[in-house]
Amino acid sequence: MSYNILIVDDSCAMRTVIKRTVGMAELPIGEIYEAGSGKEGLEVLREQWVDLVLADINMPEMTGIEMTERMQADEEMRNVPVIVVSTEASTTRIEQLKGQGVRGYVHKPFTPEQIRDEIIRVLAPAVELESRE
Amino acid sequence: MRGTFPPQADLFAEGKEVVFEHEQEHLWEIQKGATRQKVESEQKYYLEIIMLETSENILQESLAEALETMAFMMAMPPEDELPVPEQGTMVWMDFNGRVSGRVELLAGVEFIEMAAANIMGADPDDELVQSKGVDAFKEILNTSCGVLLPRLADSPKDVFDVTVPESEDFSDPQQWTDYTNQDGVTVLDVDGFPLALRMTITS
Repeated sequence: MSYNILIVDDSCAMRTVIKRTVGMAELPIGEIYEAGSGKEGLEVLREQWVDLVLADINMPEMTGIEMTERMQADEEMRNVPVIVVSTEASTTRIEQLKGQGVRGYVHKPFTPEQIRDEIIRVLAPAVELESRE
Repeated sequence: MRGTFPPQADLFAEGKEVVFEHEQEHLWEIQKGATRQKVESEQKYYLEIIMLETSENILQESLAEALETMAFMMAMPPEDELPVPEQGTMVWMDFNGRVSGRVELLAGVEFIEMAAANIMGADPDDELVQSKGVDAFKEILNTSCGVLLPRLADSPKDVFDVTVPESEDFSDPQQWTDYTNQDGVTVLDVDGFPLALRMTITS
C-alpha cells in the first residue's frame, strides 16, 4: 500500500523541502498534495484520500491549530494523523497540540532523518496492521 | 566611572564603560551596544541592558544555525569589505511573549536566490527559485526565530506569539547603506554575500 500525504505550509519553499525530504524517506509514497493554508488543507482533505498530514502552525487565513480542530470535529478527517512541522518550541503549545489529536511534531530546522523518523513512527501502527492482514 | 540610579543621559554613548548598578552595590554599567531608553526602575534598567547585550549574539547564532541547516551556508563576521547590494529585500516578523520585539533581515537579490536555490535543491536560474526567492528568505527568518525565541525564554513552557513574515523590496544601494548604518544592525558574511540583521526588543 502507498500513502498519500498532504503538506500544509504557507511557504512554497518549505513545501518543496518537505516534499523532497518525504521523497527521500524510502517510504511507499503515493500522491503528495500541497496546500498553502489550513483552509486549503481542509479543501484537499474533503476531496482527496489522505493518509497523513504534515502541517505548519503559523499560517495566514487559517492556522494549523484551527485546521486540526476542524479535522477533529469531522467524523472522517479526525482519523487522519497529523504531524506538525513548525518553529514552535513551547512545551505548553506542543502539549496543547497533542491534546487536540496531533500525533507527531518536528521542529524547524529539521534534518531529513528527523522528518523521516517521525513519519515512520506515526504511520507505524497502520503499517503493522496492514502487514497482519 | 561610578554613579547612582538613574544614569545620566550622556553616559549612554556606545563603548563608554561605566559601573553597573544593582541593589547591593549601587553601581551601574552600560554594556557596549546598549541604546538609550527611558527607565522606570533600577531592576528594569538592569534587565533591559542585559537583554540588549546578549540578544544580539543569540540572534546571530540562531540565524547561523538556520542557514546552515536549511541552506547549507555559513554565516560569519566579515573579514573583508563586502559588496553593497544594488537591490534586494527586507523581511521582518514580530514576536510577543515574555519578551516582545521584532527581527529584521536585509539581503541582496544575489544572496536570496542562492539561499533559495540551496533550500529548494534547484539551480539559482531555476524559475521556481526566481519566483519564490523571497518566500524562501521569509522562511529563513521564520526558522531563525524558531531557534531564537526558546533562547530568550525563561522556561521551555514560555509561549510566544509570532506574526507571519512580511517583506519589502529595495532597489537603491543607498537604502542598504542607510539601513546598515543604523544602531543595532549587524552585517554578516554568508558565503561571500552580505546579510544584515537586527533585533529590536520593545518590552
